[in-house]
Amino acid sequence: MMFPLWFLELIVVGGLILCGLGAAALIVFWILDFKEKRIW
Amino acid sequence: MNMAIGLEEQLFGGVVLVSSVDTGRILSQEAGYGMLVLFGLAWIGLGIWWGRRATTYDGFAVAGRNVGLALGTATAVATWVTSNTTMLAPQFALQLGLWGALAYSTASFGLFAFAPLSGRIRRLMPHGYTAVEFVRRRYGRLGSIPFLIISLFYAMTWLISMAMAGGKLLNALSGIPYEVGMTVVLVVCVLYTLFGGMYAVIGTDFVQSIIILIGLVVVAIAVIAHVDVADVHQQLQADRPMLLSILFPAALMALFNNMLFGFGEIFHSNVWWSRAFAMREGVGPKAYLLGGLLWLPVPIVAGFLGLAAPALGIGVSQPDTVGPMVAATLLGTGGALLVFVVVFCSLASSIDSLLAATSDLVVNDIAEPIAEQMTSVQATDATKRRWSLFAIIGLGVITWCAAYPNIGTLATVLFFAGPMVGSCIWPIIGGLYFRRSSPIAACAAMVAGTSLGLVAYFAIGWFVASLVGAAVSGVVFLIAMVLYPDDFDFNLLSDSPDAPIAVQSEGVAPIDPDGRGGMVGDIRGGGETR
Repeated sequence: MMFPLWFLELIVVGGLILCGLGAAALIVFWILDFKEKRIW
Repeated sequence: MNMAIGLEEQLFGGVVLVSSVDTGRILSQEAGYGMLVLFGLAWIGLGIWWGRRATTYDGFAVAGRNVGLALGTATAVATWVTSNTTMLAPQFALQLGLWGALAYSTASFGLFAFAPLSGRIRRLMPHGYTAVEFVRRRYGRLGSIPFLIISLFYAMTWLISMAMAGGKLLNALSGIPYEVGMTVVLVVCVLYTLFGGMYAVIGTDFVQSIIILIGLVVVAIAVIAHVDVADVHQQLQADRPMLLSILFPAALMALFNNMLFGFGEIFHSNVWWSRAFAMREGVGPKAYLLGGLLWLPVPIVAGFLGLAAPALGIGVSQPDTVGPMVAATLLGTGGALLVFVVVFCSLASSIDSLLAATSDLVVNDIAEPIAEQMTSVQATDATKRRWSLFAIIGLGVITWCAAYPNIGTLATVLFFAGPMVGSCIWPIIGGLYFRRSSPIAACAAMVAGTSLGLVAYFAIGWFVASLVGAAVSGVVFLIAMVLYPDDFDFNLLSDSPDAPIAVQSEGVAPIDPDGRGGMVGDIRGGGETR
């Protein structure tokens, strides 16, 4: 029994999107924290 | 995340984190030195810049206890992405298939599980500094002595293995001699941690986490642009069907072991507790949840680089450099430089955290109690700050001395920590949430879990060590808690760390009659163990 193609596509593409969104989210959080003066 | 390297031991009979032979280089030595100097100076400069905020010991040790969501999330991601995550995940996938990458990603579950704990820790101990301090105040000496031994063993073996990995990786990637690479990485981390404390560590973690995530995305997109996921699947199905097998026993065992090791590592280590203390109230749970979510895909995306190598026609003479080889083949010098920087960030973000968190243990749980016993005087803010500097330099020197000879078997010592940290899971959860959790239950659980877990490690194998350690610890903890219940007052935890002792020294009735406010090694109340 093997992992189907759709599962491989799901985790690879999903992982890629999550990594990209993650980097973007960190930058957005930083901007929001910076505006509110609550970075530190 | 470290435990995954245990798999290599089973596969090859001995552990070599990364081969240091010259083949497989993706960069020239000159380019490697250039990147080391450039980013080394950048981290030190940023450390000095952020370190200007660290005017008090609270600032130096826990970044003023007011870290926001952006930096809190980033530091959780960056610290948990070690060089093993970015370099070993492709090798894992290449050798254990899809389950290998998925097994590695289960280490993120530890971050998810620590999210609610971090909020509770912050509420119970608003003035706390270390995990050992919690165990001491919750369980007294009976719990804190075995816990301190486990914490220091784990921290030092992780630190030494990271320094060794740094030397070996930089050598494998660019031919920089092991001794030079290891020394430079360690010196850079010691310097910026020394200048900026937790401010520098968390600040650089933010930059490092973004570099790691973007670097991975760029390389993975380059792979998908060259070869379709369907082609990778087809190639694996034809040539290496085992890598796509759903029933791959070795990989399935790795999955559960990694998960439990991850829980034990995060629940007990001061690396994670110090961040819980550093984050503003209410931020910790969100930051750890988001951190786990952002970390989860990293081993999967990195693992895909390994799976794609055969379909890309990249010959893999050294499995441990398959990730960088894929990047360098597809993206040329730019890709090689990017991978070098990602690896440097992965190393620095873990080493700096260990230096800062372990120096907190040395100052608050070893130096301060000893000084207090000898002089009966409370350590001042400035004194603790000075001790921190000595502790960071001392830890750096000890690590350098241990890593310099490049003894391969030294890296395997980290695997012994599996059952040790696994045995801490239940005493920590019980101590945080249940009044009945007693000192004798915590001590018995840690000692029994560690002992039988180590027996299982040698008698059966690494893949059951954490499982046995955690299971035995859980059963012993539950039985001892029923037989010897406690009735702990959680309000005792919320006082400032030195309050109970300060009150006693002024001749006022102690607010801590069980002696749990005392330090490790304190002999109080006629030498009783609590």
